[in-house]
Amino acid sequence: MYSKPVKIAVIDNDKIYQIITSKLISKIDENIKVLEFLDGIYAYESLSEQLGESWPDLLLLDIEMPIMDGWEFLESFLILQKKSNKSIPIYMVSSSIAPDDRIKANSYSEVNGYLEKPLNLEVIQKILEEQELL
Amino acid sequence: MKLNNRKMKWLSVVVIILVIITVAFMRFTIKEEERSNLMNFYLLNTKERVEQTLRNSYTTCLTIAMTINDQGEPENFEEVARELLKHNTEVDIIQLVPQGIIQYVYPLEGNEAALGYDILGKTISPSISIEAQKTKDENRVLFSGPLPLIQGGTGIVGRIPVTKNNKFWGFSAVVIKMSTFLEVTGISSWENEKYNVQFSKINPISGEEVFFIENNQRPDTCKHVKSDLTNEGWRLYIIEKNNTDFIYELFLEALFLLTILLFLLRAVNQFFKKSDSLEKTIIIQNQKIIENEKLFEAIFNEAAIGILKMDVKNQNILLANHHVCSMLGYDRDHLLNICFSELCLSEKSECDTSELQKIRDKKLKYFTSEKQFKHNNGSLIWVNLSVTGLTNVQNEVDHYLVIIENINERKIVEAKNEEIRKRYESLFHDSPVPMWEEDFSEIKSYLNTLQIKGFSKHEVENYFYDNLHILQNCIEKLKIIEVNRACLFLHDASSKEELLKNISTIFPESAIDAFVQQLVCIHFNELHFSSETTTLTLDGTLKYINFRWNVMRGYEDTYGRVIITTEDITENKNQETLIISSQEKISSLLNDIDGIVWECEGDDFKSVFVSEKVKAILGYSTQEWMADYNFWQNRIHPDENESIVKEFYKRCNKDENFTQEYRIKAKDDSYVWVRDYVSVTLKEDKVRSVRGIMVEITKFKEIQEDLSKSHEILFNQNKRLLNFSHIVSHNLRSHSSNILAISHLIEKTSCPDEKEEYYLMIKDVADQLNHTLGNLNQLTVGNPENEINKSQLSLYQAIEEAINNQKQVISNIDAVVQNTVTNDVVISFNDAYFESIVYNLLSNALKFRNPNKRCEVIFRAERIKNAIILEIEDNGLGINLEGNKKDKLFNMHRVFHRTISSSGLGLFMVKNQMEAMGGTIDVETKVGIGTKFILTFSL
Repeated sequence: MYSKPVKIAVIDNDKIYQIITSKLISKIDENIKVLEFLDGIYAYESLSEQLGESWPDLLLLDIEMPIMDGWEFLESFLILQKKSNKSIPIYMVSSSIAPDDRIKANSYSEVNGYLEKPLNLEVIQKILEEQELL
Repeated sequence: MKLNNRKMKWLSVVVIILVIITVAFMRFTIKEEERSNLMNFYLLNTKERVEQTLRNSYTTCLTIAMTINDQGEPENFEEVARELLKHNTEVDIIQLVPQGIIQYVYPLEGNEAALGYDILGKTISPSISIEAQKTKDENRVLFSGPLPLIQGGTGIVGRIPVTKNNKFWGFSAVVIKMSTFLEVTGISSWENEKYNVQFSKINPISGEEVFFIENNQRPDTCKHVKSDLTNEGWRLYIIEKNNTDFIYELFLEALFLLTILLFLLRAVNQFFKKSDSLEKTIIIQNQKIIENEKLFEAIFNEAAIGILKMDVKNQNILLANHHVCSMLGYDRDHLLNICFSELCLSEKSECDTSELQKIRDKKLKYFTSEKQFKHNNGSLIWVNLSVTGLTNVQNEVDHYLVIIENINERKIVEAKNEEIRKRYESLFHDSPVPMWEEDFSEIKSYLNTLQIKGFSKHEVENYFYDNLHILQNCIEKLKIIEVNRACLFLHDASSKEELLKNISTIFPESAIDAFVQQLVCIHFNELHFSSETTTLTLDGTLKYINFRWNVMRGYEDTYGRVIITTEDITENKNQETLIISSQEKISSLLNDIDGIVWECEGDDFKSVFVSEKVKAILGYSTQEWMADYNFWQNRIHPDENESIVKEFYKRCNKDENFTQEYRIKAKDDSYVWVRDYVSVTLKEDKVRSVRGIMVEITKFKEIQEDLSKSHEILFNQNKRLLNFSHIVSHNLRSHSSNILAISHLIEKTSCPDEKEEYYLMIKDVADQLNHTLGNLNQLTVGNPENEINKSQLSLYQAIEEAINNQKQVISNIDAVVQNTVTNDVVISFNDAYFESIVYNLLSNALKFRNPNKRCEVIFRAERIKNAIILEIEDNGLGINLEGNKKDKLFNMHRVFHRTISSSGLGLFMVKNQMEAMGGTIDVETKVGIGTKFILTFSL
């Protein structure tokens, strides 16, 4: 159906969350490739190495991370994105229910949404559909 | 006549001189005679005594000669001689010299040499033998000598030639020693201040005169008298000692006479002079009489005053001068025919008649009266008459002399003056202001007698207050000349007399000050005085008066007339008192308000009032406030000065009331918080006045500050708690959401293997949750129990313990840890927190060391203001804090070094623990160089 398999990057330091998210995505479409990053810094390093073409089609970005948190990553990535002249949808995913985080997330036009943990099939399905990745 | 006079004068002079010369000559002659007489008296007296002595000697001689019997032998020579010497003291030696040879001598003692001495032979002095021979030849008693005696000395020898049987027998002789002779004759005891005595003898051989009293002068040049004694050539002199006395006397006499002469000459001169001037006067008088006659005629005719002469009997006018005629408008001829009384207005002439009668009877010398005369043209003229009587030779008054003076104009002026006087009098009496005319001259002269000359005004004033009786004296010396009706009204007196009688009762005690002031004024010769004072009516009601006086012109020296006004200002005064009391009430009200009430006015906001509370609140006096135009502006705390001043002026121009709060500097340099309630009054869009009350709110502000401080503490604590709860919720939620997600997956699957996998995942989640909870347990953030538990820690000690705890690690990696904190630094802190903080920071420094360097950690402490700063510096990896990472450094679960495992809890805990204790933490770091944590402990 697709010439290229869809890639989704999950950036979160919670390993269990990573497993669960991969499971959920594979339940929707087994062909979707999940790229797991345990910290923002790893994701940033990976993305800056392969500018543009091979970037994932969607970013699920956690906020709280030890080395480079979600916001730091976002700032750095936006510069990267501008450089590569390619934009990819970004969703902030956090267990925080603090309104500040949601407001901050909404203040970025590049951020497509703010999702509260836990994610479930319906939420992921909806995002994928939104981004026409299914 | 004139010539005669001069002759008389010269004649008198000559006569006087002659008389004086005669008198002088006579005086001189008399004096001279007097002198000679006196000298002759002395001479005779002395001579008498000498002769007496010689007589006695002669008798002695004779007596001894009797002892010679007929045989020529002396009998009982010794007894007789002794007897003779006893009775004749003037004789010294008795001798018998038979045949010129001395054979009997008595007394023999001392005269032995004389025995056998031939006095007719060769003798020691030739005169002896000559005289002896002379005695023998002349056959009479002879006194020879004085001559030198053979037994020594000088003596006078009296010898009688004794003849026996008509034959020369010898001599009977007595020797009187010279000293004895001079003594018994009184010559040696001669004492007279004017004259001396001298005794001489003509030497019988040489005929020279020899003087025997060597001490006395010789008569050669001096005035003297002399007398020859016996015929032996003896001479006695009385000699004037010196004639200067006499000359002096003469001189005095001459002087006296000369004075009399001069006096007489002068008298003569005067006498003739006087008679000369008298003569002259008579001539002058004659001329004068002639001149006067002419003058009188001229005066009579040309005088500017009328002169009439009239008969005593019928009072007909006999003479009238030109002036009378022109004055009354009559011809002289016409005037001479009318009676004097016709000229006068009939009504007043009667009294004159009696006066005229009196003059006629010589009871009155003259009288004057003012009359109105009829002018020829019918008008009336005021004249002043002076009438005197003219006496004839019989000394009877036969004419009247009338002098008529035209006083018409004077009368008019007088009438006018009278009118003016009346007007002024009415001005004085009808003046609505009480007026007095007084005489201060007695007070003035009394003051001059006081011992206050040279005093200053103030001293004079004190003098009066110290001597109140002087004030009383001054009041008594006050002389009131006149008072007006308003004055009586003021003092409630019915008449001037009543007022003057009770004058001493109108001075109340409160008027003393003004009275003293006025005396000072008089003493210093000031001519005006003005003062507000009090007086009393006669019934004792107090009145306030405006008391003023001026010394009238012409009386400046004596203060004899002084015009005083005593305007009644009681009404004004009462109102003034009311106003003052209400002002006082307001001002006390303003001053009692517990805040500084102030007011300023006009465009320039000049201070016009400030209440006394300024002293209580700021320590400044109201004067200090008022004097400094920028007082308010300069004292507002610099922090808010600009904004407050700006706001003040801005809002003042908007006519609104507003409130400002600011700090203002008090006198002791401390700042006082005030709230200023300002109200503005505008008039025609301009600021008219701005008033305000400044209330001190320092306490309120302090409380507010305390509140805001504790609020901040609570706020911070809350923030930390919120942060913590946020962390907690986040951490817990991440696990719970995982569980939710897993359970969701379990629901969705039917594959048992997959389910099994999910259950295992739940177990993992549970483990993680457990771990997280364990971590959270460590983070005892904001535990109030711990916060209370502060204690005094020695910084050095605490650091040493922390180093000790990690001794193993330090030695393993061969790190250098230095504690340079001094022993005396003490902080108030929870010891467990401090241990944890130092542990975390030290372990971080050791953990994130630079592998290429030897690890060095240094602890430094320093005291700054109200805080102690502890620095922990290492030479480790450093942290990249670009961007806003510094804020996140102290967050939970943050990791900055990927290669080194870290929980991300340490710094979070450090920060929380510091803040819980009221401290702060900061960091300075550079990658590759090192990191420095700065801990601030507030004291």
